[in-house]
Amino acid sequence: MSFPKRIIKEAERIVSDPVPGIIAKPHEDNLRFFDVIIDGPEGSPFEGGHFKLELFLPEEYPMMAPKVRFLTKVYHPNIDKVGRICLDVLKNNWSPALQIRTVLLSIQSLLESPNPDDPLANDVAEAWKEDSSKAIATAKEWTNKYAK
Amino acid sequence: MKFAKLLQSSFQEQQIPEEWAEHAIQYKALKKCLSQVVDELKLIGLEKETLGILLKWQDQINKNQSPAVSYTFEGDLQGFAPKIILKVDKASGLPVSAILNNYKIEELDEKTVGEPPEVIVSTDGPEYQRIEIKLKSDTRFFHMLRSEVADLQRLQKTQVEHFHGSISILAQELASTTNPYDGRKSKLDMTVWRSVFELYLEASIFFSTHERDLGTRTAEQADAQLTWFKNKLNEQKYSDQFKRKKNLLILKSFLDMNDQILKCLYFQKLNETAVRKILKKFDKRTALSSKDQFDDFFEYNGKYVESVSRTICFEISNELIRTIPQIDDYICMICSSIAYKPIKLACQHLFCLRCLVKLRRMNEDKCPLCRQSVVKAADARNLDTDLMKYMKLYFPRETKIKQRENDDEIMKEKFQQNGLDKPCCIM
Repeated sequence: MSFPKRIIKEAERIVSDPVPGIIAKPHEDNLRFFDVIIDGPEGSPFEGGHFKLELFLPEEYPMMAPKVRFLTKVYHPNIDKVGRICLDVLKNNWSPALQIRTVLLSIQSLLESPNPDDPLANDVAEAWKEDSSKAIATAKEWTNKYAK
Repeated sequence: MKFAKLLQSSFQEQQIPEEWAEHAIQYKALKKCLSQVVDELKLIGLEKETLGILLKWQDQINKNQSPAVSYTFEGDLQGFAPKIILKVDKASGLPVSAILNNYKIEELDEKTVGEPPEVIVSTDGPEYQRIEIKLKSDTRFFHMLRSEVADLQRLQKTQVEHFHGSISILAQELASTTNPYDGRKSKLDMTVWRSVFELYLEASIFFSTHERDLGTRTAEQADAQLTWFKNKLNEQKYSDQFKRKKNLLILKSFLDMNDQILKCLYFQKLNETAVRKILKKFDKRTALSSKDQFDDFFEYNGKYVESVSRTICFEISNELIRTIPQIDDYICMICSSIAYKPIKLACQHLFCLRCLVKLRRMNEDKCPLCRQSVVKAADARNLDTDLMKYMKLYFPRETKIKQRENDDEIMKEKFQQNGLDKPCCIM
């Protein structure tokens, strides 16, 4: 299988020069699939957790955004039960100049600053708005339970 | 092993040139001088134990009071002198930490033999006297250290200037031996050099651009990276590929220069260690805290390795490597290959024609880099013809490959439009 130069370059660089706190490993047989682990940012309720994600580069990439999904359960207003992520750069604000590493960095910072005003998981967002300290406690609990 | 010996053997091991070694920190002589300081302190009854108690005691007193003992540098960089300041009770003549009963100021003069220390007595409030003691040996020690450090700094300046000169010469030579207007040989050698520099940049010998370990490297790390680079060069047999002999010589000079820079880092590092060690020894044997004083007073930060790596690295990439245009400076941010044919959008961002055609097809108007609405307005006038010529000249191989890929892709699309891309079947 042959891959566009850009995908090969990105895959090489993310392995040789990884972003701190993020590991992305391309599948050996298909460079369009990546197994990703993002460490929960320090000071966030996800600290200490290692979150598994899958990333897929569609045929149209980089004209279209990569498809990314959490495999580890996360208690977060912008991440739903099946791991889908509500993040502008993955949708309308995608630009072909963005890359796998920038997308993963955005996801890392989404963990750092949840945005309950633009929710994907409605129940979590509600809980977050009603009692943020309780929601943070739950997020910590989930991190301990699922992401360790 | 004693540090003085270790220093000596390290110089030999690293093959430090004689003319550098002359400027090295004279650790042995400093150590000898330090012994004199210790002796002199003992003579005036301020040996390590006594000073230790006085200094310890000062921690417990009220912060507003001046301390029982302090140690500072006085004067300017040329005429400075370190001094010990004691606070003494007027009535008893004892230092304010009255727990010390074996020491009185009157004894100072009696005990001193040889070079007497300079003693200044003044009043510090109604109850106390302030006594400043300037030891001759102490002054000598720090003047010696100071001049050694200054000497080293001068050497370092010369070294940097020397490297700067070498880089300029190499850059000039390289420009003349790889001029693409100068025929096929030069053009071919230019591509070899490009690969060499690509490898060199990847090795990031003296300065890492990787996110995990961003910044300057230690001499040992640089050593490992340089070895890696040389091994790779041998593996790829780049030196055999040069068509012009002159380029082989330039490569050799380039490698020699890198060896020299590394040697320079080792040398300076050893000296920095020597300075740190001797100051540590001073503090240990006298209980006076000279280390921080020294760093502050002489603005000595021991960041030599860092500053040299930074400067030299910058010059190498700016002056030398730039002589050979690098593909990374001419790639399209969308497809990651050369931005050929180059289209410059109204926002001045550069992409290749193919990628912009694809963007337009997706009805996208925003520049991928700055999100200004400029894509749809672009037309034939946005083709940067000068840059296109330049790319063809400096990247003949890359532009050819890109052109072929583009043609293939267009062909494929045409087939697709006509439904001819499916496997054929017999009706």
